[in-house]
Amino acid sequence: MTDKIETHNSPARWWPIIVFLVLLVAAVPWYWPDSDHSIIFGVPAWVALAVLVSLFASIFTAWLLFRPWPGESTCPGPERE
Amino acid sequence: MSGLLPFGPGAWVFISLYLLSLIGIGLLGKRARKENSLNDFYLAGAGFGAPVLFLTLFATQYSGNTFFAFTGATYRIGYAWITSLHFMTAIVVCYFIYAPRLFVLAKARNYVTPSDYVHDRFRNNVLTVIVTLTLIVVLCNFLLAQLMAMGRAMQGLSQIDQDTAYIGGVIVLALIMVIYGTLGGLRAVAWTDAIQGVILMFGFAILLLLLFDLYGPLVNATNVLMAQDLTSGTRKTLPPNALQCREWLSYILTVGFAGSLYPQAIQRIYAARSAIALRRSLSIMAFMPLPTMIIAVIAGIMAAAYIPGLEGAASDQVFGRVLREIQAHSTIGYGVVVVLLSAVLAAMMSTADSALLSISSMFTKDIYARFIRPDSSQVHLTAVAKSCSWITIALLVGLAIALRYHASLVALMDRKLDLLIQMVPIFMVGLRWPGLRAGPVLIGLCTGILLAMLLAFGGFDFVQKGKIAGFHPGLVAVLPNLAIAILGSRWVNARAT
Repeated sequence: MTDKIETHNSPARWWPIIVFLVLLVAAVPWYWPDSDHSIIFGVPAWVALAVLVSLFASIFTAWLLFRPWPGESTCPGPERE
Repeated sequence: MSGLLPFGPGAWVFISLYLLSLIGIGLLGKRARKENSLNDFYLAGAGFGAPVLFLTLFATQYSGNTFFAFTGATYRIGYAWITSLHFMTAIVVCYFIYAPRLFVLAKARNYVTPSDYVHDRFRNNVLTVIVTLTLIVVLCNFLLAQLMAMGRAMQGLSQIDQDTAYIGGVIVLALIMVIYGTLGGLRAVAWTDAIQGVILMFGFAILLLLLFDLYGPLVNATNVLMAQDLTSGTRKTLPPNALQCREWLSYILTVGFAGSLYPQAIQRIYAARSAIALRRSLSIMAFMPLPTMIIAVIAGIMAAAYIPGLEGAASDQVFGRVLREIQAHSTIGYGVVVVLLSAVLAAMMSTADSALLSISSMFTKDIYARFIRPDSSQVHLTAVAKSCSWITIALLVGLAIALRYHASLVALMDRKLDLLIQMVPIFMVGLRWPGLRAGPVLIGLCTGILLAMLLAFGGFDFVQKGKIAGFHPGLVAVLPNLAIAILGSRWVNARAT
């Protein structure tokens, strides 16, 4: 581990971060009224929504992971001594 | 696992054969060894394909104890524990931040431990040692909790004296674990993980069907709890209140970031045969929270509706009560519970053995080989690694036995997530920003660790139930850690130009 490898920045991709932030906001049911007692698929409606948001997060994450990874060859190398 | 019906001799023979077969897998792992080196012992020659890699990641992330703890949490707080679905998904999301780049570096630079990356990236011995020691402390804590869970599991399963069951359970299970772990290294550990992963997935799928057969549709349990909420003021079906929403957010961020940085998970990234194998296994992992967490939540909801009245520590054992009802309900139920509990015991061992391997790898590679005997041969280092495993497990077994009446004390001392999240600047920023510098990272890390521990153990009035306004101390402490690392590096870089 003594040789240095290529060191340069790859352009940051912000849109996946924005999608994850939107999913995070939707995942926490801060907006759901306490008075709602509706049931969907045997569970409270807000739980069904939480599961749906989680499913979207899983699909999106799997899709991002499955694509060829950008920047695989542009990792920061070791710090100069 | 308290509350189970006594197992017959057939069940005990099955459990014993299953556990002993793990030693057979250890022998097979030893025969499959390609060379007597640390890379082969700890990373199985970095040759895992997607199926084994996925199953070993799954068995490592989902301990047998997870189902007991998560069912108990659902029993206590109701549907609000559906947040477990989010935070287990968040772990895979956080892998995406650093795993692709770390994998490429690991292949190019022959990393074996997480600290290999830290040393290679920052070239700072003090930082490397602090990271190594912090990770070893985290893993010892983790391993101790798993050993104690094994002892409690044996207490619940056997009919003999409780002390004897606990001590005998811890010693025998730890012995089996260390034997197959030192025989076959990561290869044996991953193969046992794969078998346990398959059994757990099928077992819990059948368990879900048996739950519906026993208690009827989920909507009935939901209606029972909803009626309780309306009459007695509980909140088991209501959406989380403001404090719980902050706790949700804290759990998602803390478990997501910290959970993805467990050393044994990082070493599985190194052990992938190719980027495609890693991509495929992580893609499947992204979906695993859905079936596993939903089953744990459904079991907890059913128990809350139909087995009410358990409080405190007893509520953590509610999964055992559910299994007892399934055992008594039908012959199929009895058989499924025997197989499931064997897999749960083995899953506790598989989570523990991964931690044990990581501890011995970090001591051997990052302390012994780097600072004590830098000129050691690979054969010598592998021998040191195996000795380290035996010594570590002997010490922790002794501790697990000594602390058997102090489970709450062990839980109180458990700050692994608060410590692990302090590694975020090193791994997640360090792999993406070449400008990150060792000095500011070191100061940030020390600040983060000290602040997190001060908040957790300082006895401050504003820290309620170990959290600050619903947020984990580690999450609060990682903010100054990140600020010092990034702003300090910018300042250092500006001065250098």
